[in-house]
Amino acid sequence: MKISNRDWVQLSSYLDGEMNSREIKKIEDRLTKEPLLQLALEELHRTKLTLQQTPTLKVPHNFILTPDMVGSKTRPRPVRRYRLASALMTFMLIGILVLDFGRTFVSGSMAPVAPKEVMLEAMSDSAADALEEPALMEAEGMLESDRAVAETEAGAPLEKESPAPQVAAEAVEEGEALGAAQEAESKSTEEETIDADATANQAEEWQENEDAEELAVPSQTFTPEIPGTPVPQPSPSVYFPDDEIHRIEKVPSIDPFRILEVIFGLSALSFGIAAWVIRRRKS
Amino acid sequence: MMDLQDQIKKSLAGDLESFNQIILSFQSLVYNQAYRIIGEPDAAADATQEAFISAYKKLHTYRGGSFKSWLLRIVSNACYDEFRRRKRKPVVPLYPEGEDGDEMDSASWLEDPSEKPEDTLLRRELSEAIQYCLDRLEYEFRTIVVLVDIQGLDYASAAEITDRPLGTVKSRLARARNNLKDCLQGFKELLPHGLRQVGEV
Repeated sequence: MKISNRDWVQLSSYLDGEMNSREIKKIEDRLTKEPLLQLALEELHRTKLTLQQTPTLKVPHNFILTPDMVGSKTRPRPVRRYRLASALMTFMLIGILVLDFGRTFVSGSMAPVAPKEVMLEAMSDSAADALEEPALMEAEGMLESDRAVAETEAGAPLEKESPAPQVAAEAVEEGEALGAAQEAESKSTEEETIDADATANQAEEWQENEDAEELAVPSQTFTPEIPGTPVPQPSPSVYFPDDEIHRIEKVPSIDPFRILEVIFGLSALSFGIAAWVIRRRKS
Repeated sequence: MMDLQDQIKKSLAGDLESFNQIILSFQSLVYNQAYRIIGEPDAAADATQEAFISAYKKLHTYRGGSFKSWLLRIVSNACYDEFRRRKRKPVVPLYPEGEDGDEMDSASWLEDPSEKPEDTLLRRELSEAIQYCLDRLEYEFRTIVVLVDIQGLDYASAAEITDRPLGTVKSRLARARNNLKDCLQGFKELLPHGLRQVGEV
């Protein structure tokens, strides 16, 4: 009679006490009736005893752990962290660029054009000033050359009190000024001559004071000093008209999107370079 | 002296010295398990070290119960990884199939025609003879028979460690014992006198 695989499994379980009472009773009945099964059980028992007598081997060395053995693999490497940070900054940069583009696209051409208009106006004003500047210089030279003529002019004081731009505007029209001087000269009377002498004396005094002032403060104004009256000081509004000052204040601040783009871009670049340097050092 | 549960708690808190005390208590068990499964001293030592490192890192997964069974499960996994990594020479199964596909019952195929096992291993100790026969078993059969017959675990623990059903453990253990019985017949002079009548059925 041959022992089946099922019989071997039952004998093995019976040997180890891994059967319930019903299975135990059943196999014990068979063991009393089948000597071959009894012999197989004895052989299995010997085999089990042989395996249980397997000598315990001595360990070759202690297997205690050191902090390096435990921590070296759990600690994230700085290269990975730098790479991750660089990737994160890059994604943030892309995101902020997309947002910036979307904002520009949605808001149309209004928002970006406004600063350009201000700049164009400022450029046109400075261009106009540049055009007027030679005329002013020319007018100043003309006035100095004509001061001798102006000494003899009758109604000069009123005209000299006009502000510099007006004088300059008149000086641009050189022909008119010369014509006016000749006309005033031809129309002079005896009474006017007396007044002209008095006025010429005042003009000489003014000339001396004016020369001294010009050394201290270069000015395009042509303000005669009349005794007994305070000398008008040039106010900032003369040099910078109100609207021009407001234009300077209206220059827009830096766009926060630009700041973020620069920050994210530089961070991504820095982390990438750091990771590359560390990797090069390790290799 | 601290008991095992206190050492586990301190180890969970990051006290490596406490875990080293656990290692000193279990390293013989773990190394012997690894050696009987792998069959090579150096590979067994590597697997044992890896098992303890893995156990320290996964200590938070221990939910109570038998710490020995939990540790042996980690060792078995480490041995399996080591076993695959070393890509040992192909194992000749102890239960080859015949031409008709049925398993062969006779152990005559184990005999080396040029040299008999008893001639080669005449002066080897019983330990090596047992290891020789264990090495001829397939990995899972070997693991189960080592867990039950050498480490002395019950079927339920073996089933938990190997992550196999209880019925599978029973059948594989029986087949492994039956084949070991035939293999050990070739080393009966190395066996104790009372155990020499093995393999007569």
